[in-house]
Amino acid sequence: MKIEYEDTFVKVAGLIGGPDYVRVARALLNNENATDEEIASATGLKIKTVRKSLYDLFGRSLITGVRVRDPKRGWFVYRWKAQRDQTDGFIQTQRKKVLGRLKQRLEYEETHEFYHCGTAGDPNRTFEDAMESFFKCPTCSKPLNRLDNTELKDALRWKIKQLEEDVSK
Amino acid sequence: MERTEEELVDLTSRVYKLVVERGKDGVLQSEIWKELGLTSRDGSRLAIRLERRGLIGRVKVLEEGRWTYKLTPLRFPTDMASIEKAPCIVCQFESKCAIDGEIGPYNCPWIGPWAMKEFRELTQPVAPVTT
Repeated sequence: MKIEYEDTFVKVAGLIGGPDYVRVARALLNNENATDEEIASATGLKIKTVRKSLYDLFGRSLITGVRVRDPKRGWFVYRWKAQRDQTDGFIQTQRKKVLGRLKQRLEYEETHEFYHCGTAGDPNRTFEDAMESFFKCPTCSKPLNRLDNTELKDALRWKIKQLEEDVSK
Repeated sequence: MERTEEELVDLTSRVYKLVVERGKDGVLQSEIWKELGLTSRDGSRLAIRLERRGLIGRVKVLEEGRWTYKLTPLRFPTDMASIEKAPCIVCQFESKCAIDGEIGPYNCPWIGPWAMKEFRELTQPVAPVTT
């Protein structure tokens, strides 16, 4: 089920790790300062899965963890809290990062000619590389033919424009 | 009748959607319950859930001699459509991605197909199927 109207924090979690992360994120919002065990019990997920998602979200600064002593058992546990004010910043950073890479790729596509053997999985070769191998694929030995990258360039330009508009909002 | 967690999540999302759509003026919670066919007990629980998450505000108001709550959006959903399926976000080579590296924007096998797929889906409408 696609939940369109959802907290941004939950949507970001889903973007990173899929349905398991969404469940962990929702549990964190419903129960602030929860431990991994409390989240596992609320979501029905395995403790290992919960810990993996928590560490991942923590590594991306989307949640914080505070080490406290468990009064019953005496050992230390972490209490996790969603950093909801970080989510918009996270999204903007991702947009800028992807935008930069798309621009680099477009420039590369615009300034090179590409050749391909037609075998799925084999990489595209630049004109220089193709010439070096006498227009024969070094992997499968099939002849290398000129690749029309017009649609790719159009797609990259379109995506760049879309992201530039989002970044400047 | 007890609702499943999935149903609750869906209903919470629909309540939030309706509150966001009504804008900053807000909406009486009874109007939403009517629209979604909810009992006031279930509806209030959902509204409290959204309030606790900081997504909506609940203000007590007197309406036609009865006390009720007006719901207003506090946070609006962020549009993430442009990067929702971007391969970089979940890429296992993310930390190694560089122009002069083994893998980078020039030879990334995912970034081009992703842009192409979205370009085709969103700019070239699918032709209607004729029987």
